[in-house]
Amino acid sequence: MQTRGHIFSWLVYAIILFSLIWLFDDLFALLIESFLVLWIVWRTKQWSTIIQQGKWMIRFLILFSLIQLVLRHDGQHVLLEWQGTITLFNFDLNLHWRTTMEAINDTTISMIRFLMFWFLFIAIQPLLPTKRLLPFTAQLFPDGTQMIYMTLRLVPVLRERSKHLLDVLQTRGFQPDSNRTWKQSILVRLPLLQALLDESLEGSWHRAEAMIARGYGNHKRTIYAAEQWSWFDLLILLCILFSIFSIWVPELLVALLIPFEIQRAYAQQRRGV
Amino acid sequence: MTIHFEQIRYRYPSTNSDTWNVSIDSFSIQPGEFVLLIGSSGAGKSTFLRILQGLIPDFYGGLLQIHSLNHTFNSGFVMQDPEQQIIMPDVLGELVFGMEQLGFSRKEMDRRLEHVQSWLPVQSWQNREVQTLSTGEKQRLLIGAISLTDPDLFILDEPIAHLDVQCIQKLTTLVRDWISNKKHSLIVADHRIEHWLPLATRVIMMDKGSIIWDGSVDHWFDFAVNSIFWRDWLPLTKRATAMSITEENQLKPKQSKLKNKPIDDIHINRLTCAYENNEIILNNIQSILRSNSLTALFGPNGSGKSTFLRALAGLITPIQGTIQLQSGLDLTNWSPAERSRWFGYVSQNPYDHLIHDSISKELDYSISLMGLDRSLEQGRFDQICDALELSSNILNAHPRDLSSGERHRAALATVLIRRPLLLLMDEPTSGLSIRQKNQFVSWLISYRESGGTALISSHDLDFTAEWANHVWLLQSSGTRDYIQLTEYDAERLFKSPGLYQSSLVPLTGHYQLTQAVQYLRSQKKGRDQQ
Repeated sequence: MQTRGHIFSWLVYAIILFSLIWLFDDLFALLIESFLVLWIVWRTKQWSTIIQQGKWMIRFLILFSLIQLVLRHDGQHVLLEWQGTITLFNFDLNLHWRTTMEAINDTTISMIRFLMFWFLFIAIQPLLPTKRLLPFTAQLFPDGTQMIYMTLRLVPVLRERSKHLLDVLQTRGFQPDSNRTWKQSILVRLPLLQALLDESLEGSWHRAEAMIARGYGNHKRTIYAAEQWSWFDLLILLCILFSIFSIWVPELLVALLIPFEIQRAYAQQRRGV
Repeated sequence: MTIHFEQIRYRYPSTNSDTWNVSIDSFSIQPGEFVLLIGSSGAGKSTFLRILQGLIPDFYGGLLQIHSLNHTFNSGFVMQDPEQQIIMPDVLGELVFGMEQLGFSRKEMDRRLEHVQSWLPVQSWQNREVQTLSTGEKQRLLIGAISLTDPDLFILDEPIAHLDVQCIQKLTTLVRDWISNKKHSLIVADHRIEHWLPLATRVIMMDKGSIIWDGSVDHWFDFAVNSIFWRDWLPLTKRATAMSITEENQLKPKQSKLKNKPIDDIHINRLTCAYENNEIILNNIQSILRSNSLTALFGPNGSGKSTFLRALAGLITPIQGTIQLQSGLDLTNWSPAERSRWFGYVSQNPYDHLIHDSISKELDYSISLMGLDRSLEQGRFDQICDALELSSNILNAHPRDLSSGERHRAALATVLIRRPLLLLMDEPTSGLSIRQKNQFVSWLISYRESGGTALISSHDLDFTAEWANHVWLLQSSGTRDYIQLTEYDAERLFKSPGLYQSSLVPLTGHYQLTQAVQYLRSQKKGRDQQ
């Protein structure tokens, strides 16, 4: 998919959004972040991928939330509390379950943040295609980009190679579905993993050789599909500025104008201390 | 620009300090010169080419001593394995990669892309992912990408190993263009020299890291014809001449001790296979693989030869059709492991078969996969090692430390140790020297004599003409966009150049090839009768 806008704009946009989601977790910030992420999803039409992966992601999110609720005991507004002893295999286990409003609040925010990370990760891929991104980054960080080139080719090659290795192994009489314990299955597949590791190392080596042989690292390099600045980049820039001003500035103002004691008291109240 | 080196000495880090892996006193190449570099596997050809390209010692360590009289030439290098040289995920990105590195303008890149159309269909390929290309197509792409950078020196290491004959013809035309303008020089290391000899201006022979012959092609013919050892390097037509002089038949097969009851005829009925995206690649393939015969499978790059072999081996489930033995036993739904009782599949890439850290362990593993006790199967083990000349050094070596020919033999051994009645082989001779191919032909004929049946895909007509009983050709249907199979009798095909030329390949000099095969066969027949 060929998208409008300079690859650099989209790269900065993605970095800013990832940073915002990582750093700010209050509800207002989340609202802004979600709006910007959903705008990208709408732009890249990645709903089908999100729906496709959704059933796995929802299971993961539920598990993630349950673990968080089990581990979180802090907060003032207690919704459910139970303390007792369970005897299991002659062992007495002292258990304390405490669910608070604050824990549910934080878990919900974490879930939304996680969802935004996931949405952003899926939606940003069509905007940063390797064939546009890497020639651009190669001008800035040639060594790092060389590593990325080798790594990116490694994944599809390894996937194909592991299929071929397993195929040929089957033609030699290996039955992947036969009844084995998990330990036997791992032992049987160990040589395959070793062969794949050897292959990946050798493949990366030869790829690096090919890159150098074809002039990689030359300082006067050009780009065939050179990026063009357009009015669309202005729109992306506005989105970046909007996100920074709407999220960072209020936080900065709070940090600068409100006395530290009040901030600490508010934070302690939020944590239920 | 004349490229000139003197006193080239190189040793790998693991080599003893008193030995050089490459030791060449002097090497020079003039503009417009085409040097054909030949030598058996492990002779040091690839190492020498890497030195010329400047990849040694940066990538391999070791000690390099070299005196170069000019440092400023550009060179373009295509290495052996195309899979491991592809850098970009898409065809267009791969094509322009080199030009981008050298700082060409967009306008210049477009102009050059137009010029390479005769070699590569840039327009139809440019948006394809490289993963969708066949091995031969990848090789074609890489050669195209190198030619776009217009280097002073082209360095090609086995560039036609995976190319079909039509592509080889196109490449020779391209090479003729390169050298005709007296601007470029070319050095090609290859075992399939019959395609290069008409173009080459010079032949260099290497052995044990040194140049043992350096001269014109005509002088080399005289040298090789009169040499018992190097006669095998002559292309078939010339080899026939040499053999008529000495009355010696190099192709006489070894007698095998294996005596098996051959597998029944295999009936392939309306076999249809498709890719994962439901795109049909083989449509209604209908044929009979004759018992105790050697059948060659031809077809252009990307025509589905590998897919067909994989379908027969059970690795691809056909969407329609059956594979049955003459007795009526239906094998269509048999798993690859079940088929392995009778079928042996040899992949194009020998590394597919070599997953353990020594060949000996690999063969032991093959025996264990049959459910047999290794200690009771020493006879089977020794027999295969003898037949394929796997010495104890090879058996104890790591697969990646072996030469190309040794690796191919080791991979074949992992299959043959099961004593398959039918062999399905995917381009088994790519990367083999002529001597190794001759050994392979001898072995193949003895395999058939011992009751074996084989279906072998290849682009190597010279090789195929020596053993094939039947020829199957996979090609695009004239009206539809899928592949169909046509069957030929090999004797009839090679006897009738018209049919050979129109239906298979427009190979220059093919009639000579046919005559040579006939000559060799009649010689052998006469001797057998005597």
